[in-house]
Amino acid sequence: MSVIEIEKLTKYYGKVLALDEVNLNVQKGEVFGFIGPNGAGKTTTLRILMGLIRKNKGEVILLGKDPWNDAVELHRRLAYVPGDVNLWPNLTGGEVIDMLGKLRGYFEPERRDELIERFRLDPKKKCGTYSTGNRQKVALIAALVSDVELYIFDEPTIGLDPLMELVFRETVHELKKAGKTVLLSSHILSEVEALCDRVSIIREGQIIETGTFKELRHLTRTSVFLETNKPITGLENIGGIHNLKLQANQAQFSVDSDKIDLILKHITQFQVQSFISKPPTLEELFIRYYGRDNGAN
Amino acid sequence: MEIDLKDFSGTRAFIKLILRRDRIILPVLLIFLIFLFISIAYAYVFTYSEAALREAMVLEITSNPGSVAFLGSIWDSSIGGLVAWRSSVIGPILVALVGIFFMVRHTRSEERKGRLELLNSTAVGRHALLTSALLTTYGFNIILGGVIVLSLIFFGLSWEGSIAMALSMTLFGCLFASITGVAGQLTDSSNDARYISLGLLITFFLIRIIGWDDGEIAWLSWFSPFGWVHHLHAFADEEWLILGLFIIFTIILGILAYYLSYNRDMGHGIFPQRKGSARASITLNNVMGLTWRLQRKNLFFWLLSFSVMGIILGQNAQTVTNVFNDSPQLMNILSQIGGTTDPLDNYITMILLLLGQVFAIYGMATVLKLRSEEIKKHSEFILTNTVSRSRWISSNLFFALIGPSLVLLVFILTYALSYSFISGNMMQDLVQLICAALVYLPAIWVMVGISLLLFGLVPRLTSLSWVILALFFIINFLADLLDLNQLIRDISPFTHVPNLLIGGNVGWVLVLMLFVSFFLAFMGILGYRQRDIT
Repeated sequence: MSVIEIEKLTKYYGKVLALDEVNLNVQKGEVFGFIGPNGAGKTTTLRILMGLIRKNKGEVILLGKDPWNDAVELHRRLAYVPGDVNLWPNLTGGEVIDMLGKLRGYFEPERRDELIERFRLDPKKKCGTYSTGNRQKVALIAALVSDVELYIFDEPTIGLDPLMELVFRETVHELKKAGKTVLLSSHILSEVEALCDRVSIIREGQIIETGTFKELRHLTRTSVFLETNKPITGLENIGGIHNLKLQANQAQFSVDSDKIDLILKHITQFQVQSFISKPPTLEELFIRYYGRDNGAN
Repeated sequence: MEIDLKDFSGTRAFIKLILRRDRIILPVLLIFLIFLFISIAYAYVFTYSEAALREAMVLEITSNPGSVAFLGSIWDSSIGGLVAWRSSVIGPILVALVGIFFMVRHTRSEERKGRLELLNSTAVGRHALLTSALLTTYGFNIILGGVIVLSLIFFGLSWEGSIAMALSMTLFGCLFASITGVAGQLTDSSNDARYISLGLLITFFLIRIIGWDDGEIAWLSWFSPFGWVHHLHAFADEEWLILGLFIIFTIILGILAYYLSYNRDMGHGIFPQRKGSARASITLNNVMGLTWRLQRKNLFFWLLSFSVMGIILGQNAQTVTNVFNDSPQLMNILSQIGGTTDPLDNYITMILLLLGQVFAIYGMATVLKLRSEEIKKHSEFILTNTVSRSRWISSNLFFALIGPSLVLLVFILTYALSYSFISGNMMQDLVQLICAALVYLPAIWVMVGISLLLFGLVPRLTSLSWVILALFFIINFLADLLDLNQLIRDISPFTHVPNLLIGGNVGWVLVLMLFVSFFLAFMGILGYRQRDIT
């Protein structure tokens, strides 16, 4: 069942095209990653989902309803953490969490206290005196304290220290176990890799790729490090090999996924001593799309 | 505290930054102020060039107890004397306001927004920020003073008087720049710095009123810079030494600002930040509660200021009207000029006339908070929660409409109470008095409507509402001076407010203004519901 259905979403800021026929589909119960560089359109998409800005063209269906017209009703069923958290300087963290939680509906005080402790937040300090990371924590806790169907996080771990990042990941895992849906936008690839079932990559307002990591890796290359007894020859002639570094008995290259079998059959004749292969990280996926190396390497 | 030149490095860069950031607003403010001063001069030079006319005018003014209390007595009926007199209240107030907001903007607000940390990571001295703000503010005032001198001399006024008057304005502005410099060091909130400085301005103003010339404690006026401007006697045998008072205090306070700045941490004030409560109180359960929390400090400031003002003016009313009641000549003149023979009515009417637009500032500021909440991305937390845009804007609109009403009411009540307490007789017709004050509300609400309209339709231009208020202010201020065309006068909603105590009547215009204000607000709400949240 689709929690978020976005079809051909287009948004102009004046004459600038911010979103160009974006398609997105988030299923119930999955943790969906929305990744792209700064200014790609992630925040714009999320703000349209939250009814803050209007779309120009396309269809957006959120929990079966329209995010602009049914905003108030929808916001009872979801929680949102914006990127770049700015809070009222004279309210304390505790007051903000309570207030936002109560506005949304009932929330359990035990959950609130538990979260405050897990994230190590001092709820008595005024928001104006918090560091960036602590402000972020307030916003996160304010969202997590409510029991809703959908959680939307825009760059949630900016400013959090590694320990708190782990705490955040734990809570997202708990949400998933409880059957909740999570939409997460980020450019911290390791986090997306750790948390998300599926990702969409957006660049300059356009969705480039959508899929599970398996599907995406399929489209990119595997890194191989090779040591053999006999000198290696003939690799240069095989298609599908890139960035080849050859030194008599050692070879380092990346190979297209569909050529792996061919390569293996070729190198075994050299008496392989050591063979290390690594699947690409999301970083490499990323760089493939954002570094302008389409076929250049 | 040692003086190390390194501490000032980067001052020039900061100054350039300030001038670049405010490259539009500074000239605009300068032109606005100069325009004001020049119009005053122009009015008296051309409209009142005949001595007889001036004598009559002086008589008329001095027979209105409100004018005397608020605007001070006229030293000399020459053109210059009248120009100096008319500028002696509004001039310093405006100049101080510009100085206060400018200083806070370029000291406290900078730290607040964390820009300062970024800037300070470059090779910038610890005193550079304060110095740059002070120097630019001083510079602004000096330029203003220079233009004033030149224009006055151009109009044919004596050079001593012109210089004296111009210097009093310049130095008043510089003094308040120093005051705000100190205020900015005391707390870590830019709002509090503004409140402190504005509070001092209001206090000084009230002190001068209490210490008015024909009263028993006239010496009190020496405790107020407004009094200094008054006692300078520009165009009437100037007491130059008074300028020394300005200079001394400007310097002392400036040094104090540096001392405090030297001794505190960046981002914090001298007074430490208090912790708050861990849980939200019951009042924070809904949108109204949040709005109340955000607006209450402002409301309290205005209520406090105007209740004090009401008390002072009430007490002053007694003293002033006594003088009039004891003088049959003055009573005679009063009755000839028209209106009632009750100096008390004239008094409060004059005061309401002068203060009416000030209440509008409060209403507008309340609406403008919506815009600042949007820019600071605070309201996003509310709008992405279960609060509709209508509800958010309405709860703020409520404060914008009710707030000024409360302040007006409190003002007039404290005034009446204070007067009856001192004089022993119950102020006649309290109801009539309250009505005379409340009749300003439609005009105030029109200003609120205008601000809301801009916020809802063209949010980037929300600050334009201040320009519109300034425009209306100029129209009303100059209306009598320059004998403006009635058509132009009618543009300002404040022109249409009747003076109930001296014969005015509630007319359909007031009802029309109510409709206009609600229509404007309604359009603003509609616009807000339709547009993107930036």
